[in-house]
Amino acid sequence: MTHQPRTPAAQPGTLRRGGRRPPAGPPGTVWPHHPGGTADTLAEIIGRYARPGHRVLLLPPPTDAARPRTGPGREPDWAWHLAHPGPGLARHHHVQVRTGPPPGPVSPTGPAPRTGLATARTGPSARSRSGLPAGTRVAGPDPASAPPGPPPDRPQPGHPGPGSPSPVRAGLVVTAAGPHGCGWVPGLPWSGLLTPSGTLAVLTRCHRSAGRWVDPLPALTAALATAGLAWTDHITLPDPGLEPGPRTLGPAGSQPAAYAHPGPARVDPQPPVRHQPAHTDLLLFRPVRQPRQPSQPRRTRPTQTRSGANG
Amino acid sequence: MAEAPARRTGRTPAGEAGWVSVWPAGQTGPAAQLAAGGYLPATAADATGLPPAVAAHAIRAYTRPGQTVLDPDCGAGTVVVEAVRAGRHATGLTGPRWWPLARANLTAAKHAGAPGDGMVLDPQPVSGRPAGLAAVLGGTDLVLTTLRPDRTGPPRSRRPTSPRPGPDLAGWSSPAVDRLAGLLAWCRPLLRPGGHVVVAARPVRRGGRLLDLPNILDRAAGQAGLVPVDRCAALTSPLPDRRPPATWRPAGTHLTVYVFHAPPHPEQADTPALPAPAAAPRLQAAAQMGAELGWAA
Repeated sequence: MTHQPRTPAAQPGTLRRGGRRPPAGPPGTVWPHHPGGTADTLAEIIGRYARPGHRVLLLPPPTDAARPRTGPGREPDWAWHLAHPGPGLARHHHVQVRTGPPPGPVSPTGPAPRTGLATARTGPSARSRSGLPAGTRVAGPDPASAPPGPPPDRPQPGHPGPGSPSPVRAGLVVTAAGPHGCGWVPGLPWSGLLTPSGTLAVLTRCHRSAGRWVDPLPALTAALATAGLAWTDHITLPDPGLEPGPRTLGPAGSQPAAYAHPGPARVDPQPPVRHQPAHTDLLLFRPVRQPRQPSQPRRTRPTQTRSGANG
Repeated sequence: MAEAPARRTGRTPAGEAGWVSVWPAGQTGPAAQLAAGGYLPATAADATGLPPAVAAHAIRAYTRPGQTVLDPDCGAGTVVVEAVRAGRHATGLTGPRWWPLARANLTAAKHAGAPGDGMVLDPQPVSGRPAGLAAVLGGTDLVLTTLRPDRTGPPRSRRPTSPRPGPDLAGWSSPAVDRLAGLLAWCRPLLRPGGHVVVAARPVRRGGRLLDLPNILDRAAGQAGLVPVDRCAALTSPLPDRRPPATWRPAGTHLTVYVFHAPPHPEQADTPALPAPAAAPRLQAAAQMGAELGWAA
């Protein structure tokens, strides 16, 4: 099987969501905030990294919604959007949402909803409850009614753990791992969730609060490498509201919008400054192609020796 | 099951209002930045060097006027030039290929009125004299550099390939990566307590995989006693204005900026910054020492 990258530059002829062709040029590592909002950015991720007809699994983090909100910009709530996908997401893909189950005693051999993907709802009620159009297969409990799960620093019972069955592999898994709750990431069988040519998209960001700075990036890349995934791309998603202007360049009024060379008389603020996180990191991972098993020794056809005996 | 990921934390001062992790350092292109900075045209040949706007932002964010900046792999000298233009004192180390150009850029900046003092050294004689190295570079407030990919290596395929199995990328060995990881330990004794190390890096791929630089730097910083305090995205292309949804497209490139802090040692008092920029006795003495040792300054 050939593994074709799905970046726009690598596949200039590939049809994107909606039938548009991606523009030619170098692959961008910065995606400005989509005018349509965070939901459209999520749709763009799916449109670029999942082919039409591919199964897409949205995996909201267990309790990321409880994370404290700080930062100067309008920080996108990726966890909420993963749990509440808009109807446009399912136009070209089979989109599934996987969330944690209601709290309570969890039996390893419990009913199918505990393991999520085995149950599917279809029909008009799905639209009203999850925002997906009729006919979209939605697995697991309704994200709108799912209460917060247990603490985040251990594998969640609602997520497919190492012993959970994974009946369906997805061509694209999208999840979010906040800086205060990514302890569940190493516990998931990521390679089992993905097709051999699938893609895992992780949305994460740094966090600074009360002088404490947390960066989940090294831990995530290390954990997913251990899980058999290779880090293939790193894309920056600036927060909404970051337009070219003084606010993005430094303290208000200290520098014009466009880059200007600092003059010798410029008055600087009191360094060192600490930058407030104002962007999301979109990390792309793919399963490592396993080397071929050493093949069986080729059977040698018995050589036909011409017998010179004439009987 | 793998063990839970350790978080990368650092106790830092509160964030400065208005300084955010996205640095729009590409509102004008590289050529325009070089032209505005008075660089020699040949500077554009240093394609892996740190763009002037990124260097200027980091220098303003992590140093005060009169403090010292070191780029141990300065190439054509953008870090040195931006530092002296901003009123800092700067030292750049580079090889014989870039040394004439870096020094010419520094001379042009000084001629244009840059208030800081700077010098460009050839690291070969420096590395042979550790005592002289510490005398020249000791007390640095900011080490600012970039990852320069190896010029030699496996041929790059035009078409990205699927990831192939290989060693742990955190242990991915190449001269450039080893040099960068070793840089943190090398520069640690030169840093003034409270100083910073800033590494800006473009994405580096091999065999369809992205170099796990966060873990490489994280590990090296921990061994050197440096604390990560920031990770930013320095845009090297313009952040577009608001576009209608129909014309939106992913665009732009960035450098990932890793920032480490040298915590003040308890029994080591933080010495004040150098006065001036007009007066730089230590650097003048260092330049004199360099001249005596046969270094170009």
